[in-house]
Amino acid sequence: MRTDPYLHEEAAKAHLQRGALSNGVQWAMWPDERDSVVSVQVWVRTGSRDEERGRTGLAHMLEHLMFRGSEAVPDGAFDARMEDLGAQINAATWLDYTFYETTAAPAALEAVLELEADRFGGLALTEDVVTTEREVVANERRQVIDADPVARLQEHFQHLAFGDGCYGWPTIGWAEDIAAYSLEDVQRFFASRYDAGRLCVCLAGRLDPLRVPELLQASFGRLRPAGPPSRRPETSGAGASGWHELRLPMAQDRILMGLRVPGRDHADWPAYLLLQMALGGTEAARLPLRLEVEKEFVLHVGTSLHGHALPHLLEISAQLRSGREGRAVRSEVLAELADLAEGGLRSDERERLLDALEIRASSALARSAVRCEQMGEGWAVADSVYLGFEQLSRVREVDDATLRRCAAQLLDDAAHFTLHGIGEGSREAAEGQSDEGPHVP
Amino acid sequence: MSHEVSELPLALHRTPEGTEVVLSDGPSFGVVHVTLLFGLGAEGERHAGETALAFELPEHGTARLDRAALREEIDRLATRIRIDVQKGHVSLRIRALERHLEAALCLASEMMLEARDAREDLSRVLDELDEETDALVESPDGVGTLSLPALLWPGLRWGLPSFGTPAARRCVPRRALHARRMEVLRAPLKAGIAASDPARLLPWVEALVERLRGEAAPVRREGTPEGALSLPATAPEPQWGRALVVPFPRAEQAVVHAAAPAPALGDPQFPAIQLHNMLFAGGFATPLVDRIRSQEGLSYSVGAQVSANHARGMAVFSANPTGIEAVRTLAIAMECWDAFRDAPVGEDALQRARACWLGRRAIALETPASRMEMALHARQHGLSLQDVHTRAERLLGLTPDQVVEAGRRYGWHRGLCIGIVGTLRPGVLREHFPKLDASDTTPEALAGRVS
Repeated sequence: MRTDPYLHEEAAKAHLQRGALSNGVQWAMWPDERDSVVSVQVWVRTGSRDEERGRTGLAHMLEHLMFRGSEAVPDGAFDARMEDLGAQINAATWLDYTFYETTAAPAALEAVLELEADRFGGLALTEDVVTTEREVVANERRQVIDADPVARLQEHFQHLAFGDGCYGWPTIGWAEDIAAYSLEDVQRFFASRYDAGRLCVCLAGRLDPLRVPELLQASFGRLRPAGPPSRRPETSGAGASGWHELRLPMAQDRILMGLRVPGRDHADWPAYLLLQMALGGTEAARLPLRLEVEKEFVLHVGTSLHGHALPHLLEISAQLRSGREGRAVRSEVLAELADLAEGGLRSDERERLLDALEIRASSALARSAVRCEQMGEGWAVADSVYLGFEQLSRVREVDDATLRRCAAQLLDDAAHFTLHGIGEGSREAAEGQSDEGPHVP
Repeated sequence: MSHEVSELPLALHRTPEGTEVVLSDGPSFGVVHVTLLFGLGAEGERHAGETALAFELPEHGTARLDRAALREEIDRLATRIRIDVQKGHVSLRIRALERHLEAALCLASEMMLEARDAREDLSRVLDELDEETDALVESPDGVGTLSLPALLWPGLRWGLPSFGTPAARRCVPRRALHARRMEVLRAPLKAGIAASDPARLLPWVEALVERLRGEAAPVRREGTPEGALSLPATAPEPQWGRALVVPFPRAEQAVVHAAAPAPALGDPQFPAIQLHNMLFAGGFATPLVDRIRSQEGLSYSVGAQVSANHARGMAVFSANPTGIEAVRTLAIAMECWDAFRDAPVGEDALQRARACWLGRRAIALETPASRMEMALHARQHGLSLQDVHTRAERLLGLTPDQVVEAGRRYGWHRGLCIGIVGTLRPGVLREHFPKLDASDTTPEALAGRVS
């Protein structure tokens, strides 16, 4: 078993710097003169988790509207000015956070920071802009969710997992909530959730580390000081256990299985990451070998663990081959978990999984934007910009007893549930098994 | 303000046997990327889907390792081995930690040379491909990937996906698969290594090439330009003036495409055409995107691109409006184009387009691996590394008049094909596009799943 330090972790320790402005805005940077670009990301500790029922998707709607004008930079001008700088821009919203990313020429850094700080200082929106952007978001939802039966299955799965809790509604929002957004809704959300205390500016690339703090102070330092921290929901929501079904117009059946795990900064989280990898993190992991190769139950099976701040799920998804039983997939998953609970990992298995994690981490970090994402996500979910870079060492330290304990916990009936997506035209649909309807909020 | 145009850390090495290797240097945290490009792809195959099948089977086992054992070996080496089949070439890409590189390259050559091609493996692959095709047409986006080629090249192989149709691929003789692989391995090849100090790793890549090539000299196709890997795969001229509608009643959202002729990548005016297209649709502040998304709210995804294809150029507009708005969206896009193509180009707008292009290029060249791929793509078509270095400078030197002149050589007024996946009101297409010869089909027919 390798014990030498991981190259990317050593690099993070050597290069990463962090600080805070006088108004509460945090920052972190990873300068590297070998880079040819700079990446700037503004992370906001606000996501769909911070919404209310009846106004789901507002964080994502605000993300869209952040591009639609401020007092100093009217609607249309933000994109034009960024394009003049040759900057590539984007943004994303998820459960715990929203982030705004820019990659640009090193010489454009000051101008990028000015533009970013300006819009975080306040927007100048009109009813017309809100109306148009509401339709864009509605189109987005129809395109990425409603038109795609697999996405609809995933949405239902999430709602089953967390019920009416803050992780239970889709980040893009329910369609009826999107249709009801008003200008006042957005303005209230911005005022309460985009406070300086909820911001972290992450930078990576060809930066002058001596200049960056003064540039940040000159731009983001002008924002209104952070007020008292506002409360965020601290429970993700209680949901289903057992077996559930949903019919959808899919060619094959799909199985989604959720195993309940703690939040990202829990001491056991690295053990769950190792379990996720062991179950389905590589092509020769237990479930792909068993279900794709040995038994040919599924076309594909995989696992994912996203590392959200609150208790969430280790997810298993499988696309069944025609005529195969969905319950057989669940049985295999539980059998592998039982084996892990009983015997832990084989020694060659552990080394293989660590190597897989290492190569993924290392190759991703070649891009400055990914270094920013690691810093920002760690800060957003666990208040540590180093979190992602230290992850591999923490996984390596997971002992066998901890791994087995965590696997055993997942076997409890209350700790897992399964959603069987029955494809219309598949064998089980033809046999007319009982089903639940799609979610109605 | 724009990105610096600087020398890229790329070098060209020629092995004693004459194989060209692109060396791309840069920080890589111990990860190595190796790419081999073979100058023979699916074009000219005797049976539709034969080449894709030939290179799918190596993942299912070798003479030594069955499918499970092969996966375990790949995992043990923490490597990723991908084989990709295009019309004009086949690529082998390996990503590995440096300490496993030699073993990973050996394994890749074993997969290419000693694939089992067992009857049960082929049967399984064919069944899986059928099921994956069925899954592809579950959504309008998936259907759209099939409908655009079918629209442009109806009844021709170019209109089919690389794996062909279910019926066609079942006609591929099993014995033909190994022969096709060997044919590809005997084609000219170029290689690339992306890593920190990549020259150190040359001996291993040279050994890989030697194993794959064996004693055979590369077989060059007649007419291949000097320095190029192969003749570029040439699509037939599309049949312009047509429309294809694929009703999709279970989704409100549609997918629309509008294709038009454009000069190919090798055309001397191609950089100017790219810049012209950037002005039209390259960002949120451009006329097309601003009108369709920001002003009208018709679609979340919208764009137009000129394809960087070496033999047959094309411009394609695409968007995802609702079915009800599909034809109106297309009509607005054409309206935007008609207003734009004849309008003068100002220096400010041109500067912005240059900056956008350079910005995208800078991101595309950010990592050693992506620089290697860009260099290999250039060398594939006989362009020098100097061309890669100086492409940006050439683009920066273009004047507004040159861009306008280039813009007259492509676009939707010169030829038009429209594809819509979605459900339309009867007669609406004819109202807006009366001159198009319209037909319809189903997702199942596109997927070849209708007997």
